[in-house]
Amino acid sequence: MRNLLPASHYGGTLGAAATALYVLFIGLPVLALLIKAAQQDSFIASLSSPTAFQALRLSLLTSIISIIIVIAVGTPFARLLARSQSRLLRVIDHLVELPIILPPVVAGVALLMALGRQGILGAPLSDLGITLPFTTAAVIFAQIFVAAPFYIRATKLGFQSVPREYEEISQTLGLSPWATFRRLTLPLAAPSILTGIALAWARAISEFGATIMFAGNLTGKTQTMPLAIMSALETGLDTAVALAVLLLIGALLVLTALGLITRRARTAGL
Amino acid sequence: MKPPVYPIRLAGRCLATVIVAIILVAVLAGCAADPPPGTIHKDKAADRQLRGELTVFAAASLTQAFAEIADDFEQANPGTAVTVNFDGSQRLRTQLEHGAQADLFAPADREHIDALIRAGLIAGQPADFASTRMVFLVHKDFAPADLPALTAPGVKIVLALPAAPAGRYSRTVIARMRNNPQFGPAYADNLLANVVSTEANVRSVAQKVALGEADAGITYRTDALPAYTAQRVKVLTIPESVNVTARYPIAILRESPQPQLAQAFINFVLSPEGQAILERNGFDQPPSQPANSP
Repeated sequence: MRNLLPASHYGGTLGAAATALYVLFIGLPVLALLIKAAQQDSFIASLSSPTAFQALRLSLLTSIISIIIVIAVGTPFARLLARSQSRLLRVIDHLVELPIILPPVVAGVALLMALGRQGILGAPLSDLGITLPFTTAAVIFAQIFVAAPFYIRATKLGFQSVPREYEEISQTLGLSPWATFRRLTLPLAAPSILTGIALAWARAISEFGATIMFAGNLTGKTQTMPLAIMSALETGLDTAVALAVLLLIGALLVLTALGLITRRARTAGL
Repeated sequence: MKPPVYPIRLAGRCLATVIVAIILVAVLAGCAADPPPGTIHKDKAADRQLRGELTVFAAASLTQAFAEIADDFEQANPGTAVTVNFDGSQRLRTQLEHGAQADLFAPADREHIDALIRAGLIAGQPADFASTRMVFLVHKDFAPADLPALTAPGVKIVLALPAAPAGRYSRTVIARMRNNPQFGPAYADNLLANVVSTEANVRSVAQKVALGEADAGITYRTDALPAYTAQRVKVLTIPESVNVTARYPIAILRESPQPQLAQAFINFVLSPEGQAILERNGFDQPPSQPANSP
């Protein structure tokens, strides 16, 4: 029943005014983009160009691979961060969020300094014949670098929200630590984990600055949607707007789906 | 049923009203703050003292030269302040087409200024003030540092985007190489097959080569001169038979509220002093000086 109370109950006029202002502030630019896209005749033609198709395919491919790697490495890491009392891990915990603050271009430069052909690790790799810059792998590296913190942060909070006693009781009742994690901790933390996936994926698919610095901009190989939008913008608005709307709709679909799953997980969880 | 009015809630409503009022006032004041062009400085423009702030949108390749010109112009005309916005000409053009405020536009080719003339955004005629030629920059460790080596498999080449003037000139050079017996179609194909990235402006091309991430790139000859790049690259000259001349025009935007000041800046660029700065930064004189100098 609590959702039936009028909005004014929570924030009064101030709340309503702030909400209206915020919705207008965020909504207007998005609406402007949609209107501009609807006005142009070449909308479908812009989207069916091979460049647009390759960019979309590359964006989906790289962001999905990035997210899988982030989940695979980030989940056990977040679990450790959530439970450990070690001082070293406390320090690491703070550093995890560093890439969120770092301007993406700086992240790109940092990746070059580490993994570029003249980089600390990149130079010896280069001698072995492995060069990362200007490859699709570099796109994935850039995405993981900027997106992983969002997943780890949300997942860590999710694990922390599961009372330790539940896990202890479960193990006293004879479940192995792994079974406890899989059947108790994971379902209870699921809403946070899904939020983390959504945030990290959104950050990965919209990644621009680090990618163009570290991976460059080549159609079909390193030119993801944001880079294709930038490149299209150089010759006019039409194609750029069409691509932007496509990205917007795609992102909206994925985030809505994740939102629904999260809600289901939340109601099922407790 | 109306809920009882608590003092705290009343205070909240008052606060909200005040905030909304402040925002409204701020928005309205913002709208009214810009005086109609030409009303305020009229008296001052009448006496010969130049005053005011100029915004110049200039090609990325002009970065050092125009920074110096802006400094010297300010020193020669106390009371003026020049802000230069450097980026790829195509991006500056898009910004101007969508309402960016500037007094002057100095792109790296005629194409982008002609587009603005067609859109009715330029006042008067553009004046050519400099020119340069295209070169290959190769990283200092790249060997052998010659043109044939650039087509070897695995060489990493970066170009500017086709929409950027430098990108267009680069592709013209490659097209001419294709039709020139000294190079031929195979050379052009192998060169293009080695392209690993297309950068938003020519300075990003130079930067990728200087960093050593790319082996080579096509830029203006002038892009090799800034100290950071100069220490890290070697310049390979492109034969005259396949090279192109990039010429730089400058024009006043119709929206400029201070065309006299803008014209004074153009005059300074074309003056011996301005030309000396451009020459020091590696630029050549424009191919044929148009007759519209002051």
